[in-house]
Amino acid sequence: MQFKTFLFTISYVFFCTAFVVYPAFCEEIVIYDFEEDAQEWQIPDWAKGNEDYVGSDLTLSKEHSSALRVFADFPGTGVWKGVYIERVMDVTDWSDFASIKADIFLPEDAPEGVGGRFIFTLGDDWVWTEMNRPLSLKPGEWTTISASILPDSMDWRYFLTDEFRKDIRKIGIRIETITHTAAYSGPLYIDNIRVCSERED
Amino acid sequence: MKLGILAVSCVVLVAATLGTGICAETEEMVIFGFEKDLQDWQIPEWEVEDTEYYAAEDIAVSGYYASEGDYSLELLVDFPGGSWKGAYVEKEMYVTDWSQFSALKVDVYVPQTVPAGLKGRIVLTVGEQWKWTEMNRGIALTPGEWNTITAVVKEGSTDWKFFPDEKFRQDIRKIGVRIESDRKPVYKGPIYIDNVRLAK
Repeated sequence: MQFKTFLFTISYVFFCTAFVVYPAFCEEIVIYDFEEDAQEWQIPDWAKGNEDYVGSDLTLSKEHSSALRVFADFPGTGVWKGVYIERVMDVTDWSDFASIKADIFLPEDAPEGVGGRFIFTLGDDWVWTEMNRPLSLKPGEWTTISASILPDSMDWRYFLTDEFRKDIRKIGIRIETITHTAAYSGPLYIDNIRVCSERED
Repeated sequence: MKLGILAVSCVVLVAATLGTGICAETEEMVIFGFEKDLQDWQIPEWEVEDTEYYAAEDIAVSGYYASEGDYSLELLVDFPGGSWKGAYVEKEMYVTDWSQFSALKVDVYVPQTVPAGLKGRIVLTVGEQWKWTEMNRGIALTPGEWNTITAVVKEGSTDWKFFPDEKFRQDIRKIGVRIESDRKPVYKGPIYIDNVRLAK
């Protein structure tokens, strides 16, 4: 009887301790996996007609898993260039989530000096809101770009308010030259766009 | 016996839940707490070379004193006395638009053994021209306790050498803290900085 009581006590202690010892883990929800189609991602018309934007031919590709593929034509002439794709959101309230991530593949023959960042369009006024810095992409590898969307996030040009997090109208990804002499003409791949429910420290 | 264990377990469970960070929304947001590292705060190179006016020797994360969490930024200073000297640390900001906030606050701890007389002020680097902008007066730091330096950043603030307009807080490029000794006191040792936060 005493041994059973002891076992019962130990079990309860371990059960309760689990909430103290283990940090919150990030439950990721993949929102765009591009397994069957481009899921309404597109190059907006304004980007097609803008000389600073050099993306074209957005389509689904099976070359590097099933992913979104867009062609980039970075001339490497010392001027900033970008490739921008976006998707209008149907689910606009992201206040339950802590971060957003996407995987980007830069082919091996691409140069260093290319980066990616998230861009949101927020609120009634459709405010363009981009990460304050691009994250470098490594040629020949899948690179995960990530941004916290919590109010204390240091990833944007201003601190995101709850008002904004509840009204995300569009999500965009821009792949751009960090080093403006980076010359590359070829495909870029985007996949596995996901949100994470918990802060990752 | 079983009821007692159940009661204790419930207390532990509730305490653990509270300890995981679920808390009521406050009007202040901590942007630098130094709980894991220096968060890219540094002594700028120009200061290291300016030994005539500047007295910062080193910075590190310290667990000795903290006004928030368990750690703070420890700034080692060497004020020889007899002239004005400052010890300045700064951080480049990537979140540059502070329009939602009205004030910046920083906590500074001066060890109890230090004679009174040290002051602290916030320095911001603002705008495309990276304009150095410091508070118009230093705040006296009382030894042996945490002192809060507050700088209002919204339009009309009287904390700066000029009246800021609305654009002032829309393009904050760097945030800095300067500890000063104006001829006295003489002090060589650590000063602690923590809980850098924005207030609405």
